[in-house]
Amino acid sequence: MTDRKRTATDEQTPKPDGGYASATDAELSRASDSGIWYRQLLVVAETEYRLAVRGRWAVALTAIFAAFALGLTTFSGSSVGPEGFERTVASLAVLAVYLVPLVALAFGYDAVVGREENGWLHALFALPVERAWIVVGTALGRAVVLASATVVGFGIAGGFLLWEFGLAGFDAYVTFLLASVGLGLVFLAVGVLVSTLAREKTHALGISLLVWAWFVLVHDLLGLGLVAAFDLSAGAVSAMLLANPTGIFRALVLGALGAAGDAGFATVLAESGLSTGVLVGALVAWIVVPIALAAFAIRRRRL
Amino acid sequence: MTDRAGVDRETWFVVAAVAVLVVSLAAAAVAASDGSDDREATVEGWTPDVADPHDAEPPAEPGVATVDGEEFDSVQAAVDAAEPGDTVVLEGQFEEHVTVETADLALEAAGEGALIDGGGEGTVVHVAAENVTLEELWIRESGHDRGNEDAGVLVNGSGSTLADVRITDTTYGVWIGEAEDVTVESATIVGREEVSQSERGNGIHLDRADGAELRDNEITTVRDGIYFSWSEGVDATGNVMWDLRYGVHYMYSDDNRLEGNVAFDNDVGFALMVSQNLTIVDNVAVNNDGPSGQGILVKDVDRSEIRDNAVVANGNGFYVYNAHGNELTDNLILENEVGVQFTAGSSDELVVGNSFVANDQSAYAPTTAQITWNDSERGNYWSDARAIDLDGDGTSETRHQPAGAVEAVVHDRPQAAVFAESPAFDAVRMAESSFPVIESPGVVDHRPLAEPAHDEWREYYEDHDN
Repeated sequence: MTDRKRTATDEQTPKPDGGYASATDAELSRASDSGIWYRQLLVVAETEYRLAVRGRWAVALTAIFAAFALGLTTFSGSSVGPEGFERTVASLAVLAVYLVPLVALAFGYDAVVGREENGWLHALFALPVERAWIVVGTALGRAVVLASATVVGFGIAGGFLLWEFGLAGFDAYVTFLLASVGLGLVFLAVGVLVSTLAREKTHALGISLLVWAWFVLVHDLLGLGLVAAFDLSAGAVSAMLLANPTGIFRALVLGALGAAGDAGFATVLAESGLSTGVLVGALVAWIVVPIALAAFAIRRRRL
Repeated sequence: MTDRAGVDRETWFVVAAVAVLVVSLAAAAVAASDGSDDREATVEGWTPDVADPHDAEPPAEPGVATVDGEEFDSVQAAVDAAEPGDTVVLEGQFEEHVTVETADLALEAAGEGALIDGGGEGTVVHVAAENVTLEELWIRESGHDRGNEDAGVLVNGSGSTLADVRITDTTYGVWIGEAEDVTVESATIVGREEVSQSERGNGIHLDRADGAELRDNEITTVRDGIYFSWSEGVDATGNVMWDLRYGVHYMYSDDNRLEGNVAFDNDVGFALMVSQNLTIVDNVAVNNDGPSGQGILVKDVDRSEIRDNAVVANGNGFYVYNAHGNELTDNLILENEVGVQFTAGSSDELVVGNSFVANDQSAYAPTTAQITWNDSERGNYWSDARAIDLDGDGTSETRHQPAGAVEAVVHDRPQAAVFAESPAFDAVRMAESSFPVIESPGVVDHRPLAEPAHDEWREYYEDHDN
């Protein structure tokens, strides 16, 4: 028993790690002994979290978000136009649609397939833990890292904005912050699903990039074309918006800003019956469904 | 032991995130409960300084009219007794209708002021002779009949002057009919608020009143502030008009000049219709957002110069309808729903040097062709354009298409606005703007300015107390 674990540890972390792996593994087996599924889940998640923090993923993600947001906020200070939160948040929201999904997919695409290639997954599957919980735990651990990185990264920029503009209107920024966390989690979930389905890491990477291009660029272009070509019903337009998580994100953030973002945006949202509740629900569904599918697909995966 | 240490070593990250999140949420809660709208950096509520037009005390004493040392208790009697060149001094309250048939007469108020009350019937003061002057009088309560042209003052005498008069509760304020070179200055005209707008008359109504001068008047709660019909060579400067249908309304009136006027909170600020050769400079139209909602309406107007005006926070900044050969130059177009709307085959316009700042939509033109507004070296400033000025000559090297395919789609099918600001939206817009290969119909500016020519737009954001 001890022997097997030792081998597994060596495979997954070639560098010295302060002996934490054996400790967690001990905990893992303890958890399986007690047979409580959520403890197994939490242990996998915690391991994933610690690996990401130690592997500098957490710091790198935070730095990317902070640099992006700070760059844009300092830039917007020099631009022509009424200064203030609304304008800055509108600009941030528009550009975050490109960055956040890309970063989340990059962080998520190797969650399963990458772990398999370096052998860590074999070790985990050998344990008496339900495979589905391993995938969900992996997703959960990475989700905590990504969410924290988003909050800290954009939070730093938020601090600068507070310093520049004062407290009034900060709620708009926090809406943006929370929506960004949601958007990141959606694409992390999609990344994990892709990772579960892909045969090889390079396949996962390619598919992830296609997913990014689809949701960020193609989907809305297609939607715009459809709306231009046909007189679609309000329901169809709403469905088209909800079918794209970046669209939901934009609707949440720009809708909260009112008409400041663009002509009639809020009005159109209101007419199509997309309340904040519906939008948030759709975003949560976009997070839960891919992970559920991944948890289901992992059972059919051959190692 | 190692286990605990490991936990400590990595938890800082999530702890930091939770701390930032809690602080942010707390700050947001405070900001939201603050309820202050400072972030609403809009010009909503911007109003120029106007005194309360209702702020005046009528004189209580019965009226006394003095001419040549002789006292009368009726204005009409005094006016009838006066010789040309005399001054009739009025003090106190009169209840009568007056017709002035003696030329070169002056009617002035003294002491506590003078009020002529028409008792709600007919026209109160009728100036039927030339070169008559009315000064500092308060005239009120004309009849209610629009068809009968019931007015506070009806001027038929050329060369007459109304100065510092106050005209309240009238159908028409001042009606100038078939008289030349009449001057109205510093008058305050307040219509009947309780009468519906379509039943009201105009503030100053010009009917074949060539060469009139209208200066520094304040006009509110009538139908149209200043109405022109068949009048030429009229100078209107420094007037302020609010809570009206149209601030200024031109019909069939050529060769007129409108300068430095302010129109706010009307349906339409300045409505220029069926006229030519107008000069419209330095006017300000703010918050004109009624059912039509236009800052400056240019309808069937030809060869006019519209320069240095500011149109702010209107429905349409400019609405140009079947107008030809006009020059729209150096105007500030700020925060309107649509900056400039061109329609009904308007052609040959020169649109140069304008600053389009923070409009929901800068320009819109339903057309199947590509319209170029500027053949000149300079274009307009567009706050939403990607201006790239490499050689530092102040104009961008890339063209800008403010009204292109996506704007047309959104205008025709508002549903498409849900894709507004999406990367797809931006991609189409950027392609249109940057690559002349893609020739989609709409308005195009070949030489957009890199910097706005107007700095004073910031003033509109300064005062929010009103």
